[in-house]
Amino acid sequence: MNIAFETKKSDGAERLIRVTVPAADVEAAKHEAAKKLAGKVSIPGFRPGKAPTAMVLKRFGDSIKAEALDLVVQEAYKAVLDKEQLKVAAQPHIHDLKFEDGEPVSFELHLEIRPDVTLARTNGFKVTRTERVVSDEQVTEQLEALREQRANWAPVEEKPLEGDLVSVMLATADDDGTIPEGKEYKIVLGAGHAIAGIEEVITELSPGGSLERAVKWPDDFPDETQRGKSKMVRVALTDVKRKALPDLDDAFAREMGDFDTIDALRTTVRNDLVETAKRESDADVRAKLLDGLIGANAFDVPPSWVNQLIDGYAKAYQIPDSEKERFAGQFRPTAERQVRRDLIVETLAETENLKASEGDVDDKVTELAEKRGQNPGQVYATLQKAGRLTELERGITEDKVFKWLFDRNTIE
Amino acid sequence: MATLHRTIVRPVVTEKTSASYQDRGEYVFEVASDASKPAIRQAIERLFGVKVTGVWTMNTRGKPRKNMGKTAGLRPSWKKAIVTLKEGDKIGIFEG
Repeated sequence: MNIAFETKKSDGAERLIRVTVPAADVEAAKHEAAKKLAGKVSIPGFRPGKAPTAMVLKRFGDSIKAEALDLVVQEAYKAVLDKEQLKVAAQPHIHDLKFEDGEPVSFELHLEIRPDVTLARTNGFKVTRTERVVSDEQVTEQLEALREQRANWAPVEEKPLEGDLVSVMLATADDDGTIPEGKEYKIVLGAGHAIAGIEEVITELSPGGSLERAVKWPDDFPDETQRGKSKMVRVALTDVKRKALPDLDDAFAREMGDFDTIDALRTTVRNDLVETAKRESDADVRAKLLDGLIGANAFDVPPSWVNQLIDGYAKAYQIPDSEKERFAGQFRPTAERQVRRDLIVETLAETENLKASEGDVDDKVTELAEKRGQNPGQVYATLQKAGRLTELERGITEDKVFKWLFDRNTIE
Repeated sequence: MATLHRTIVRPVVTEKTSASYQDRGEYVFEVASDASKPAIRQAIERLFGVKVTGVWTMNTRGKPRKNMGKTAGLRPSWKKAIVTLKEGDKIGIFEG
C-alpha cells in the first residue's frame, strides 16, 4: 500500500496524523473484502463461495464498502506505526473521514503514544523516614474502642440520660390538630437522631410515661417546609436501655479471642498498632521516594490512561454523572500521579529485571498458606479462582522494585 | 405477438451461465415458449442495445417437483435461449 501521511499535531503523548490512502488501494481493498464475503454469502444460482466477485460487489456494495474501509484503516494504521516506530497507549480514534467512490480515502488518526520512560536518575535521593511512636494512650484508646464494641444495653427503670438507647412511640399532630397513632422509633439520646425539642421531652419521661406538648422544629431542619414550625407531639416512652461497658479484665480478654490475660490482649493490640505504624511509614517513604523520582524524570502521560483511572474511581465511589466533571477536576492530579507511579515501577521492573518470577509467587503463596494453616495448593487455587494472583504478583514486583530503590537511595 | 419483455422472461444467472459468458461470450435467457429466434434476436438487441450474432434455443423439460417424498407433477417446462454478441458488446446484468 502506498500510504501518505503527515503529522498535524504532536502534543505530549498525543499525535494527530493525517493519513491518505490512494484510490487504487481502496479499490483493491474492496475486492479483497468482496472475496472474503463471497466465501460466506449464498446467491441464488451459485454454490456458496462460487459467485463471481463482481456480482458480490454489486449485491453487497454497502457492507463491502464498510469492510473495505475497515481494512484500509487498519492497514494504514499498521503502516504508520511501523514507519514512525510508535507504540500506542490506547485505542486510536479516527476523525474527519473522507470516503467517496473512486477517490482516495483520507482521515485523521488520533493516537496516544505510550510514553518512553527513561529514568535518568534513580539514585541519590534522600528520604526521611518518620516513624510514628505508639503511645500508651493509643493502646488504651484502642482497648476502649473494643470495650465499646462489646458493650451491653441493659434496661433501666429511670429517666433516660444522654447516651441511652430509648424506644418511643412518636406521633406528630396533623394539620387539623388530631394526633395519630404514632410510630415506634429507637433513638440514642444526644446522637442527633431526633430533633432537640423531642429529646427534651423524652428526658422528662420515665419508662411507661407519655406526654403531649408543642415542639418547635429547628431552623436548619432538612425539609424546608417544616422549618421553624411549632407542632403538637405525643411521646410515649416504652423503655430505656443504658450502655454497660464490660470491665477490662481477664474475662474480657478471653472473650476477645485467644488471650488468657488482659496483658496478653494489651500486647497484641500494641503490636498491631506498631505494625500499622510501620506500614504507614513504609508507604510514606515509598511515596516520598516516588515523588523524588517523578520530579527528576519527566515524561508525558497518555491522557486516556488518566481518564480511565478517573472513570474507575468515579464508578467505585458511585459519583453521579452530574458531579463527574467536578470530581475529575479534583482527582486529576492524583490520578496522573498514580499513572506516573505505575509507569515508573513498571519501567524499573522491566529494565532492572525485577519482575516477580513464578518462584517468588510460589514462595509468597507458601508463606500465606503457613499463616493460615492451609495447604499451599489449596491457597493457590483459591487465589486463582478469585483472580487475586495478578494482584499478588504486582505486589511482589512492587516490593522488589522498592527494595532495589532503597538500596540505591538514602533513607534516614 | 409477444412484447419485448414478454419475449425475454429473465436472464439466467447461475454458476454455469456465468462460466459460459465469461469463457465463450454466451448469454443465457429464459424466453417465452412461443418466441422465435428472430423475435429473441430483435428483443435482445432492442432491450440491451447490442448486436446479436447468434441465437440457439431449446425447450427445457420441467423437473419433478420435490414434494415431501411424493412426486406430485412437474415444475413447468420453459424455453431457454443462448445468444452470442458482436465482439465488444456486453450485457450488464450478467456482470453482477
